[in-house]
Amino acid sequence: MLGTLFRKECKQILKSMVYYIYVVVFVIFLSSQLRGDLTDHMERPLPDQENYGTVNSHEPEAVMGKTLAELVMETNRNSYATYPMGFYRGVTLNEQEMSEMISIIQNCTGKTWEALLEEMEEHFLQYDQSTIEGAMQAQSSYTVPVKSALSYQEFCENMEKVCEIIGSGSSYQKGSLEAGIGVPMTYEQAVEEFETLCEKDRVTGAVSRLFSDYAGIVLSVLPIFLGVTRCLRDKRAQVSQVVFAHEASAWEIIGSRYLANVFMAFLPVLLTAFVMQVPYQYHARTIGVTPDALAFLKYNLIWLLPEIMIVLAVSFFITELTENVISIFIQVFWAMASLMSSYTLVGGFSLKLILRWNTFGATREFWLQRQQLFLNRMFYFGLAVALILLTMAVYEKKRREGETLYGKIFKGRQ
Amino acid sequence: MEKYLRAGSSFVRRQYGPHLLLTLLFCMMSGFFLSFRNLGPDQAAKVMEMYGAFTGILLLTPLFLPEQNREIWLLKESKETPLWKLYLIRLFLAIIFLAVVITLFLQRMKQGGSQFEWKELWIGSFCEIFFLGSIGFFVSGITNQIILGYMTAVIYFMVNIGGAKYLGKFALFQMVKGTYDFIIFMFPAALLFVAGGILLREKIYGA
Amino acid sequence: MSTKIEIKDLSKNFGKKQALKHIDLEIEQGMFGLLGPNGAGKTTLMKVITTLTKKSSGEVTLCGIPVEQCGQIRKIIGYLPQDFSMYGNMGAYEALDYLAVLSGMKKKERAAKVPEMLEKVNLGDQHKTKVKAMSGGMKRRLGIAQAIIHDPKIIVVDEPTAGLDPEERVRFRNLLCEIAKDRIVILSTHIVGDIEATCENIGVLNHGEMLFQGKVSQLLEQVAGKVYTMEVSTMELPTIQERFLVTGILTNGTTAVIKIIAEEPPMKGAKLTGPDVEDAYMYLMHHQDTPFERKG
Repeated sequence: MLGTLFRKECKQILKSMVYYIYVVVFVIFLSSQLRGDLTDHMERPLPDQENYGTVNSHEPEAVMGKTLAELVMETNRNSYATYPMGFYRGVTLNEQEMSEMISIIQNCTGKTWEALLEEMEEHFLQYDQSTIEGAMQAQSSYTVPVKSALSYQEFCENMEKVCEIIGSGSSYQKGSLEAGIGVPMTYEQAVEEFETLCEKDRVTGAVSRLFSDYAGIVLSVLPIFLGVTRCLRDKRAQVSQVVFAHEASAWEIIGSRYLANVFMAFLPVLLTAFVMQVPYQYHARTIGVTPDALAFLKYNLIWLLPEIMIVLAVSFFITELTENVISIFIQVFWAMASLMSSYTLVGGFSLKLILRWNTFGATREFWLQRQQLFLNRMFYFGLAVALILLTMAVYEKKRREGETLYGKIFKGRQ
Repeated sequence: MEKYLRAGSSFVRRQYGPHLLLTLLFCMMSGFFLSFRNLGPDQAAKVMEMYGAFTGILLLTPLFLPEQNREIWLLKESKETPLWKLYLIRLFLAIIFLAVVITLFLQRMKQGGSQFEWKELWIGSFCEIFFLGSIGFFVSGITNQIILGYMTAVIYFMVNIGGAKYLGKFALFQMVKGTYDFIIFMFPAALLFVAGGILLREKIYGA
Repeated sequence: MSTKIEIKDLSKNFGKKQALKHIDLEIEQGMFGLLGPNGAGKTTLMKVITTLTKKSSGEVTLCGIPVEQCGQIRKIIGYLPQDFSMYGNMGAYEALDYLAVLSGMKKKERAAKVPEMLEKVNLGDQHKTKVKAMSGGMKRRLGIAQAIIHDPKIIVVDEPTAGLDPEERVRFRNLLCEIAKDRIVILSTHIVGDIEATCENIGVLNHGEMLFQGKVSQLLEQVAGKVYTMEVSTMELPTIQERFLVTGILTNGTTAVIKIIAEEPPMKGAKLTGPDVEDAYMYLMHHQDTPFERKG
């Protein structure tokens, strides 16, 4: 029965306007984001290049310089990004707190605040700020060196004071400092990076990773609407009672609906991913690398499928429980919070819903963080399964008792 | 007059209540996520544009909820008060709530010692939030599917995060950059969406 | 396993409100009519039988299976709820096929049964018509098709004729009678005419209590010798209606022929007449609250 119901559900999804909007928005978003040609990044680096991009470093010097640079920029704007509960919370200081902050910075750098501001301005003038590319380069190359007498230990103590002023969850916290920092690459590092790219990612892996990065953003929101639509359909068409009285179990009814939605939501993702990586399969061969033909499938299955599953599972659960659209707000909010909370756009997966790897390559670093990604997605996979089982329980309860606890409270109000 | 008051209060009691409650909850929770203290003009604008904007979607999209059920719709259509008048009453209610919400947000920021031009930010926020909400209103009106209304408005919001440059004067998040000239474009557009939503709805589904 | 429903001391409470009070009922094969005014507890009783709501106390068994075994019960029942509907964008065939799958029918079975059932309920020519384009009668017919497609032993139909035009109503009753040949069909309604035309056995429910159960003839016996007709002036009507239980009025100019239920001849010129089910029902309803003569 599950199989037949599954097919029938898929057919139903194909008749829904929400699904077509889902597909169109997904395809447009991905093709607009991945429009640029990535083949530039697939050249073996030459000696005398001006810029080799950045690489993650755990060197104290680099960490301190970069952290201070960020502190100077944030202090200049008087706006500090913190993520106390995983959500973005901008902190602004009053005058007294501000002067404390400036004295900490002066203490670390040995320079006056005015001098630091001047240096910063000079640095940023060297780049074309009107393009995103230029602005990003300016930011990534900006560092503020500490005074030579300052040890890493003392630096950390100073940062603790910073955290006391702006509150918890900032990038000046110990954990964040230990995560390392992006620094410009040298030629040797760039060559090593390139070789790892060819060996481990076999080109298509890196392409699929970038695809997953962008796709993950939209997939944190779009499937919500599929889930909510499906769960409210029975109520809207007034078919709940009829369906309830039939032999099919909650496992078959909810299971088939959920699986059909996961499948139909995943299908366009997989197809788009496949189409977008095809040119790079050829390109890989031109630079003498045998591409990983199935990289797109691996990334989609591990990175994106669990995300679709959890987003749909949450919307199924909340909507079956409450029988209204509240799930849309809770989940859009969750997605926004996850998106804004990534203080790095490359890695730092922890338990974030949206995983970011907004760079082409960085293969070595990725391989270091891969375990974290697996854990994250396994967690969400498990959570999705648990939530769907719970949804079935809620459904069965409604079936036997006519209503949910929520329904009793809000009876007649929907 | 009494008739309209009754129609409005019945809507709030029977359908709109949970949505208002959610909006209230959304405003009360803002303290966990946002800081209202010592903000500059652009940061204050950010609070309104990134967070406050959702109240527009929350308040304006579900206004056609009662008539989503076709039978109720037909029943109401046979009544003396024309449907468009009912819609306008609900819209009026939603706009009042919106104005209250915006005032509360601004008040809270002022109390936290933030610096911004009250009148400018109020009008700008109102326009932007009303505009975003009117998209939801329009789409849910012409499709008779509330979810599609929410979906379009949310997608519009998200498009603005990455692709504001394609939207010209209708882009959100302009106050953050200190630009306020969008108001003269966005406000009429919002009115157009609202009027279009009601008129087209009557035309498509009317008897 | 006999085709029989047994209900013993069944009660159902919604909070403080008692929707069903100590119901005892046995239903055998054939049409069973459940009659009662709106809000009498009919739908609640139907829902207990169809596993859609839990009973508070008592015992209910369907064909020997206790109602707690939902899975087993759902296999042997077909249910047509009061406001039956299906997904608007499905055609008749598609909708029926979908519900047949939910009843656990295999592909081959469905391929044979779905067209047959559509034919049976007169939707054969309209198998592509979308549910949202269907009239109330068509929907109801589709509803009955889905309730019988898996050949259940027990069929429960809740207010099936409400909102149908007279012709459709008659057709629908005939269809139900035909189905009831070798199974139990429980027909719940507040329209006496439905019962009169179709059921041999009936139960009358009011305020959650079973006022009567038995054969239609037994119900009629209760009012035999108590129904009178007489001709009165229309001017007198209001006073008469206040004093007596009037079950029928046929006005003709300034006079009216009325039907009255009373233990004794109500006034001069009243003639005894043969009762119908409606009279019996009215008698039963009013007998419960007050003596048959209304308080003035």
